[in-house]
Amino acid sequence: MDEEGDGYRWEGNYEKTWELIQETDGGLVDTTTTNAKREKRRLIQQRLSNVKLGVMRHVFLVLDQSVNMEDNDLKPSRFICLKRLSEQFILEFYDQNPISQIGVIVVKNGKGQKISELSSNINKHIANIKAQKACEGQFSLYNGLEIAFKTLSSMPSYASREIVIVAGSLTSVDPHPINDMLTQLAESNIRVSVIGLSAAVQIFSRVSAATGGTYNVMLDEQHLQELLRLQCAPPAATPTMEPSLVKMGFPPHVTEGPLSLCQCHVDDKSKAELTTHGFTCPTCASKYCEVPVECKICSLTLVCAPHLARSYHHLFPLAQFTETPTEELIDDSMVCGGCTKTFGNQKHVYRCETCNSYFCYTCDIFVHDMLHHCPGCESRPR
Amino acid sequence: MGDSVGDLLVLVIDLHPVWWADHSLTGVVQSSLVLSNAHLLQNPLNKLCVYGYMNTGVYKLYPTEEDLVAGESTAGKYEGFDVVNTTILMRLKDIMLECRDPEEHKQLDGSLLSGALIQALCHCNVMSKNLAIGNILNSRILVLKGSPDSRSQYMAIMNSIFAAQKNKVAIDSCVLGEDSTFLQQASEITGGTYMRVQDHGKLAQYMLGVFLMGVEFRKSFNTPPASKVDFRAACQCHSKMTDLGFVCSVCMSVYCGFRPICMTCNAHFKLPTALLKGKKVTGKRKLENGKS
Amino acid sequence: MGGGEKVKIRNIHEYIQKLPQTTQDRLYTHPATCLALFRSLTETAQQYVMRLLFIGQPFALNKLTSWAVNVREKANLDATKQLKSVRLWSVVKLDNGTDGVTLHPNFRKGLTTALCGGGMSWYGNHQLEPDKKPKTVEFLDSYAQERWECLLQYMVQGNSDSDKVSPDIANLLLQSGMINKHGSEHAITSTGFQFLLLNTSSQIWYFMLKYLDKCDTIGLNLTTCLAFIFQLSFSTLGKVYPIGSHATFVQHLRQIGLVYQRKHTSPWFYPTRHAIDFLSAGSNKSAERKEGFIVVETNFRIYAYTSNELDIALVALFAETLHRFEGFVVGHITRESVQMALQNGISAKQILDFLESHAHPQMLKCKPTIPPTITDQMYLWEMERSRLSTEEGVLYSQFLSDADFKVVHEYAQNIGCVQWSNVQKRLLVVNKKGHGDVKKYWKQYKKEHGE
Repeated sequence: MDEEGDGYRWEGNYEKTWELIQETDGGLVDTTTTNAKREKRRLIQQRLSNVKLGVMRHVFLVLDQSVNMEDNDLKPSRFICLKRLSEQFILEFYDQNPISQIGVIVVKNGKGQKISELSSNINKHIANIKAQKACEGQFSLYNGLEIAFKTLSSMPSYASREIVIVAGSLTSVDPHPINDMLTQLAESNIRVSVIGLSAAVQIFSRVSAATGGTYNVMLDEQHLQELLRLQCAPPAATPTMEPSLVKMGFPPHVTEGPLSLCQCHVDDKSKAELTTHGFTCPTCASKYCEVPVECKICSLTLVCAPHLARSYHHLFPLAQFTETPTEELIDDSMVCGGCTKTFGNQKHVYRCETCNSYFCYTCDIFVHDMLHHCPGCESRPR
Repeated sequence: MGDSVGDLLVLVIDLHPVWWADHSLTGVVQSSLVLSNAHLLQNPLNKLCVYGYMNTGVYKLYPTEEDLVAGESTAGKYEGFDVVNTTILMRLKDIMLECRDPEEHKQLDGSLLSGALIQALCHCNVMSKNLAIGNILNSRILVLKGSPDSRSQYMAIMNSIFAAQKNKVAIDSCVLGEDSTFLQQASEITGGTYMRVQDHGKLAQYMLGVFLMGVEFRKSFNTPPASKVDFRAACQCHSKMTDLGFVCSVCMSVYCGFRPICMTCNAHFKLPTALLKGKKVTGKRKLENGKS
Repeated sequence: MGGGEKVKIRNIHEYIQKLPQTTQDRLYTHPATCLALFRSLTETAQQYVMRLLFIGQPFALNKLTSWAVNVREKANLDATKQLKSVRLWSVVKLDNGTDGVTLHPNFRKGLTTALCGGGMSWYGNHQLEPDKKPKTVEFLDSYAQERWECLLQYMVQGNSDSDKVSPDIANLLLQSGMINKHGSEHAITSTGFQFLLLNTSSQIWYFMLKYLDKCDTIGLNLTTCLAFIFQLSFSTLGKVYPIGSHATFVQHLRQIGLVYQRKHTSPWFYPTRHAIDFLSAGSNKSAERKEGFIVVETNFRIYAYTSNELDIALVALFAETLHRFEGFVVGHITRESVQMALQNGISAKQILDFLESHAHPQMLKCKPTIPPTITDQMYLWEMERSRLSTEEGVLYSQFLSDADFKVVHEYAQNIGCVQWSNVQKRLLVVNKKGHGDVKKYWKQYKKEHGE
């Protein structure tokens, strides 16, 4: 039992960290199984495989801006910390799902307000989030969900519809019963996930369970970051998501064309300028500075091939390697299939089931985190 | 304060026997050796790694686990360079001797560029992780390619390009044969330089002038202009580049016209409403459907 | 007391720049020199050299200026200046009358040989029998360290332990101003102090430069010695090399631990790590960083994890040693200890450079490595010493009348030698330079206006 006067539990982040240290046989500190690394491997192993995924996503990020968010258990205040983490979340989200769209909603004074429309424009989202300052009023779950619902219900059915709520308050002021909203959401196949900042609240867990989302409550800032990062991975497809062929344009990149204005900045007098380079829409020939974007004139989604390729690793994930102790290796001179170095005094090696090559710990993390392809399998002729 | 501990240059050389049968490998290898020596000379902390790849596998030419040779400065070359060069040449010889029947090579797919890139990236990753605290290693990969691209490696190559981008490893390309869209995209996305060299005799000059410099340093020198990169997608059905395509919402494969079933994931698509209602469609559309 | 001269370490190209042209030409015929010189150039200069290396004839200057994005940029101008200063880059007239640039032919040939081969062996055609008992790298490292520390200990400790250090080396230390000899005793000078705080590569390079300046007096040819040194720095650790014609020079190198020889008469030698690494000081490219052992805290405590006598003596130069344990020394940086070091001619920057280059890996995790309190305080202590400056002068007092004072004061002001004056008390201080003139003027004035 901790003494009452010593501070809050969450302040005791660094209590008894020596208990995490493990010793090897020789009495030295064993660095390969520190907590952080174990955590990372666990997270990687949670990824889904052989499940149909909703790769094209429409996600609304709902941020709580009520007075509860002025609390400073996350330094300097919950809301400022959340703004920072949301930026990181948006960047990582677009990195993993380049053809998806995000919109941002904030809830304050019991009302929801859409501060950023569903689009692929990263900078606009980040700028709008940064512009939010004061936290006031109460949180309203119903109103926040309603605004998201209005937009998402009109989205095409081949894309997944999701809402991610980050809520710091334990109460909610709603004009109508939540159950009505729940039924509407379930009918429209909108998936709601909630990340709580203080304690578990029953209504949040009901909302997420009813719509097939997840509900987590954060422990500290790092955990919050991990929870947001988990939302970047595409979720399993719902049975009602119909596969369909989406018409998309692959505009060529023109570097020396005639001087013209681009469509993305045509409303913004300060940024509009005549340029020679840009992407030209194949159907209506209007110019854009960046892709992916939805053409304003003919509403064709414009992407380039690498964007589609970024989602491939979700669809064809790499199988986990089996962990085997180093003693079981056939001979001592075997080298890692990735970095071709000997294994030295590592405790475990990792084996790919398909090609039977062995990998060291560093290469294993690198292959599963970033590469998504086994070096051994790729280095063999098909 | 991040102290730079030099640059890591990873050379990846295409050794496809059928392609090199029509071109001279010796000259290109000599030019690569001169580039490696110049790179090691610039800064005593610079590091080098060389991979060779062909359609039967990927081979590490330098550094090897055991020291194969002791350097000699008999021909006036610096001993250190002699060790590197002789090791590379010895390994090359071993690999070439293992080559199989040319007919067999023609049957196999293209050179394993994906495997080579992946191993090079693993090497860069391990080298960065083993540094002392506060040190930064600038890595880059130079690919010397001759044989044409092979589409079956598309996904693996794209994933390695994204991994390189995240790890801040630039991929330079020196293409000796035809233009390669894969490498154009790789250099564009990772911030490297793409160059096609027709005259192999002047290869050493080009390599020293363009690829010897680090990526940051290239900004103060004029480099060959970026070629027009084709970012369009190729359709699954005809492998043709297309401006306008239909993308399966489940597996992201691209088609040039409507088809009822996806080739990759077997998803069934709803027919477009115009056809369902039996409306008269334009002749072109009907013909397309008849074909697919 | 007092500053003494600041230790300035010349770069390889700065050094070569000062040599006469014939020496330079002879030097450039050795491939090792070309390699060493190339490494010491800036990145831009290296790029220019590499691009020009394989072009046989002179290259048009206007085409060359189009290589850089911004020719007026400082890096480009510095590079061309650097190349011109060592005569690597010469401007000639092309056939069509425009200017062309060409590399020094010897340098070009040397560098090409070193990169691609096609020349003669560096060490001649000596056939060596393999050593029956080869020396390991660890042995060579410990030998080099022991010899070099012997030299440094000799400098630090006042008593003449001179049988460990040969008279030639001691003489060289004396001539380069690092020690002062008083009879049979010797004491270290401020230059010597500054020398001690440098890292090993810089120390060896500085020492070699001094040696080369004096090698003519010992009877050795500068070019051959210099070429041999460069060749040495490009050798491989653990391998034997033939001595050839450099017997005397190798003896000297053996005394300071740059090479190892089994006996005086052996025809071969082993280069040590110091010989291979010291050139990095000359080329400004850092060698692999050795593990540091010093931890400095914000409460001015300094902890040194070492049991090496020399290291402890170096720390004691500017910090007060509090406790000594096995492999661990605790010290305290105080105002007095730092003032004493400053008095001996060491600057605050040198102390901080020393601390930073020997910082423990644990300290490297913090940015900045040394806490800002320590750096600021060191500079403040250094500035304290320059609060007062003294200058000799002469006081003029007891003027009989105001008019006399005014006349002298005006004259002194006109020739600009007034240091201080007080009109009410009729006091005037004139600096020594002007004193003679003022005195003459006063005498003349008195004579003119007569008593």
